[in-house]
Amino acid sequence: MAIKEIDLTVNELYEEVYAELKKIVGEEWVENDPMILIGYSRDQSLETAHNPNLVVLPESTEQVSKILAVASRYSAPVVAWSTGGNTGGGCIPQRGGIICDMRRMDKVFDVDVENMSVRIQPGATFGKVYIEAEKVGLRNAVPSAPASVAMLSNYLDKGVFQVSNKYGVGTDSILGLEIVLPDGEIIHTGCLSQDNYGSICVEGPGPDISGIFHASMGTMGICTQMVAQLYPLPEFEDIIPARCDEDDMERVTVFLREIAREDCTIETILFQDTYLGMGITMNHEGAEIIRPQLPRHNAILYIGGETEEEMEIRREQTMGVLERTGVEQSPDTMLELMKSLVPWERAFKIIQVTPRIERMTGCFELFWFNIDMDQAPDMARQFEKLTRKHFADTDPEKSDRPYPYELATFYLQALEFGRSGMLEMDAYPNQGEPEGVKRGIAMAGDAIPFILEKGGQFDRPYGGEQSGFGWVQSPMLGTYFELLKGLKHHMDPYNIMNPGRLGISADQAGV
Amino acid sequence: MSELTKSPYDPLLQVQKDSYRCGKCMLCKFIDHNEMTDTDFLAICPSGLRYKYEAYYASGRQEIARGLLEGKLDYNDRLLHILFTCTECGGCQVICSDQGNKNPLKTIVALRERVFRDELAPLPEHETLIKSMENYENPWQQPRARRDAWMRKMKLPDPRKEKVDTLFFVGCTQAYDPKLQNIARMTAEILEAAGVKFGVLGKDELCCGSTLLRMGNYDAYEKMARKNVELLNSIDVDRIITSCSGCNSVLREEYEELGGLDAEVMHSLELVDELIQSGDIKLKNKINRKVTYHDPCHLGRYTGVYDAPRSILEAIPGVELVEMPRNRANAFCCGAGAGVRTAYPEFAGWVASERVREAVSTGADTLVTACPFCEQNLGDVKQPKIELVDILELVRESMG
Repeated sequence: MAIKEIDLTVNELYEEVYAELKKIVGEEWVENDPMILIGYSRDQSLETAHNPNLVVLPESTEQVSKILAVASRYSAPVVAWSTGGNTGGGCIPQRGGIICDMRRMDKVFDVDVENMSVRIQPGATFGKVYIEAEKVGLRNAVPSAPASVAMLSNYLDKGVFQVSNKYGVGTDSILGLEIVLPDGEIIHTGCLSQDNYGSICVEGPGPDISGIFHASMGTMGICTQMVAQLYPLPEFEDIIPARCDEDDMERVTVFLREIAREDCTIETILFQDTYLGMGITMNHEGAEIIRPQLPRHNAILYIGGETEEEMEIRREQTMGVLERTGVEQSPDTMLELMKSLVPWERAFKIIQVTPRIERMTGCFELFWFNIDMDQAPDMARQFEKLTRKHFADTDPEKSDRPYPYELATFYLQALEFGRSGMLEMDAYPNQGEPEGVKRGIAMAGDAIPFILEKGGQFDRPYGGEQSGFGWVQSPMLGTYFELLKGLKHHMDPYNIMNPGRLGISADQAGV
Repeated sequence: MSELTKSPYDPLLQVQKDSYRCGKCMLCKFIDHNEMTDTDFLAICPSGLRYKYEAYYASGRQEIARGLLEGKLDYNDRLLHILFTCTECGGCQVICSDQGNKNPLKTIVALRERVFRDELAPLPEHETLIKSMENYENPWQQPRARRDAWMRKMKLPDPRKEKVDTLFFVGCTQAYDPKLQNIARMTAEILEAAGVKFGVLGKDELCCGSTLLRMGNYDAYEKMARKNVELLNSIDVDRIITSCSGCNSVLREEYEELGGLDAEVMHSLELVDELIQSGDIKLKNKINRKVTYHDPCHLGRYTGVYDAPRSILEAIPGVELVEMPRNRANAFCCGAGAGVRTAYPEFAGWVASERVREAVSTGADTLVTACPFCEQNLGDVKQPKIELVDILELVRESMG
C-alpha cells in the first residue's frame, strides 16, 4: 500500500484522518478534542507527557485493521492503549498521532478447562480473567499490579509475576496471537493459526515468528487477541511469612533462589519494609509508624496443594529452605497483622499492595531489568547509595524534605527456577513536580551505566527519547539490533507503530 | 492562581497534590477486586462505562485538572459534558481512597466549582434549578407556602413551639414531588406509631443546599447551608432525621466544614432499624417477596449506612434478600445524582437501565431503595420483571 502523497499541514492531515476514522468506527468512537486527548498523555512514569492528535476506540479486529490501513496511508503514528496502566511510558504518544484505545475489545471469549487456556481481547483485565478462570478451578498468573491492568498487554510485555519462578514471564504463557500488522494485514500465530483452535497448543507453526511481537511495545503491530495458559488453583492454601534483617541481602538472594529451585511455593514475593509499610497502612504517616517495626526484608510464601497432605509436604519443603538459608519464619503476629490490614484472600493473587503505593506516591518504579541473581545484593546497595545522592536533602533536619532516601526499595523476583532474576529498583519521586522528574532523570543517568556494566539486561524497550529512560540496551546489541531494525523497517516502513521505542529514532516517523 | 482561571480563588489548587499524584493504577474504573463476582458487573463509574474515553473516568479528570492548572487546556463545551455527566456517586473515591490518600471526588467538585466561578456553568438545564433555589429556596420552582402540602392532613408538632426529641427534616423532593410525598407521610406515620416524639418545620424548612453544591455553585450553597445550620442549631432536639439520602449526606458530612449541627443526624432507616430492634416497631405481616437492595450513593458511600436497610429487610417476615453483584460500597449508581438527571436525562436513563438489569439478574421480584432521586430515576425504567419499592412501604405494610 503506497503512502498518500502529503502536501497538507499536520492539522489538515489529521482532519482527514479524523474523517476517515469516523467512517470506520462511527462518530462516537473517535475524538480530537483536547479535553479527551489529555487523558492519554501520561502514566505513572517520569516520561514527558504528550498528547495524541486523535483517539479512536475500535470494537473489532476488522476495525483495527482498517484503522491501521488509514494510518499507514497517512503515515500517522499509532500507539495501542489497552487499559493505561503502563509503568514505563510505553503508551505515551511521544510523537502525537493516534491512540488506539482497545477498551471496547474487552471480552474473555472462553476458558478451555481441558487445555487450561483462555482466549482474550486486549481490554480484558487481570481481574476479569481471574473471575472467569476461578469459576472452573483455574487461575491466571498475575503480576504485582492492579486488577485493572490488561492481561494481554502485560503478558505480551514479558510481565513478571510472583509465580515467575515457576511459570516464567508473561510471554512464556502465550499460546497464540492475533496481530494486525502496520499495513492492516491480520496474522495468527500458535494455536490461533488454525481454525480448530484449542485442540493444539503449540508455538509456531514452524519457526516461531510470534517472538517478533513479544516485548515489542506495539512497534510491530497491534495484538487483538491472545490465547494464554492458565494454571490450577490449589484446593488447599496457606501463607508462610518470612523475614531477614537489613544486612543480609546475600542471604535473601540465596533464599529466593533456593525457594525457586525447590519449587515448593505457589507464589513468592519479597517486600521491603518501606514498600510493605505503605502497602498495609493508610498513608505516609501510617507507613512511618509501622516501617521501623518491620524487618528490612519480608518474604511472603504462598503454599498449597490439591490435597492437604500435598500442601503439608510443600510446607515442610519450604521450612527446610528457611532452615538451610538461615531466613527466619516471621512470628504469627506478623501474619495476623497483615491479614488484618489487607483483604488477603484474593489480594495476594491479584495483589493490592502495588496500587496502594501508586495511589500514595504517584510514581515508584524507576528501573527493572534481568540479572544474574548473585549480582542483586551489590546492585541493590549501589542503588541505595544513588538514591541517597539524588533524593536525600542536604539538611537531614529539614522537615519538608520531599524525597526521604529511606523510601528506596528493591524487588527481586527469581525467574525460571532461579536461573536468573528480575530486579526492580523503586524510589518515590513525585512526577507531578519538575524537581521530582529532574532528580529521577539525574539518577537514571548515574544508575544505567552501572547496571549495564554489571551485566543487567533491559529486555523490554520501555521509555522514550526525551526523558533519558529510553531503551538503553539497543546500542550494545550489535548485529542483533541491526537485524531488528531491518525487520521493523520491513514490517513498518514508515515507522508509524509507537515510534521512538526500540531504540530506533522517531525522527523520520510519520507526520 | 493559575493562569487560566478568571477567578481570584482557584479551587483546583486545593486538589493539586491529588491530581498530580494520580498513579494511573486505573482501579477507579472498577469495583473492589475482592468483591468481583460477575464479569458483567465490574464497572463502578457510570460516565466512564457509558462514554469510555479516559476523560470520563476519575483518572482522566485528574489529568484535566492538571491541564487546566498548567494552562494547557482552554475551556470548551466538551469540558462541561465531561464534568456534568459525573453523578458524583463517589465510587472512584471509595476505591481510590481505600488505604491510599487520594480524593478524586474532591477534584470533580473543585472542577465544577471552578467552571461555575468562571461563568461557564450553570448548564442551561441547571439554571432553572439554581434560580428556583434563589427565589423559593427549593429546586423545584414551588412556592414556600406549599412546602407543607405533604402533611396537610396530619397534625405534626412544630419543635420550636413544642418540646420534642427529634426533628424530621423532610427535604425538598419528598415535600414537593406528589409521587414521593407518600415517603414523607410514611416516615411520619411509622414514627408516630413507634411513639417517637418528633416535629417538623413545615413551611419554614429550608433546602439543605445539596443541589447548589453539586452543581458547583459553592458560594450560594454556603449561604444556604449557613442559614440552615443557624436555624437547625436554634432548635432544641437530640437528633435530626431525614428520609432523603441527599439531605442526609449534606447535613451529616458537608455541614461539618461550616461548624456542624449540634444534634445527631440520622437517616430515617437507622432510626427505624433501632425501633425494630428495640421492639417499638413490630413487623407482623408476612410479605412474600424476593428483594434486592439498591444502596443510594449518598446514604451508603457518603455516610456509610449499609447495615440498617439490610437489617430492616431481614426483619420483615417473608422477605428474602438477595444481593446484587455490586453492593454496599461497590454499588453502582442509579444515574440521577449531581444534576445528571436534569441535564442529561438520556444518560441518566441509560445508567438506571444498567442498574435495573443488574437487579433483574439476581432473580429478585422487587427492587428496594431508600432515596427519592434513585426512586425517580430507577422508576423511569420500563422493566416488568421487577417492581420498585421504597423500603418504608414494606415496613408499613408489615406493621399492618
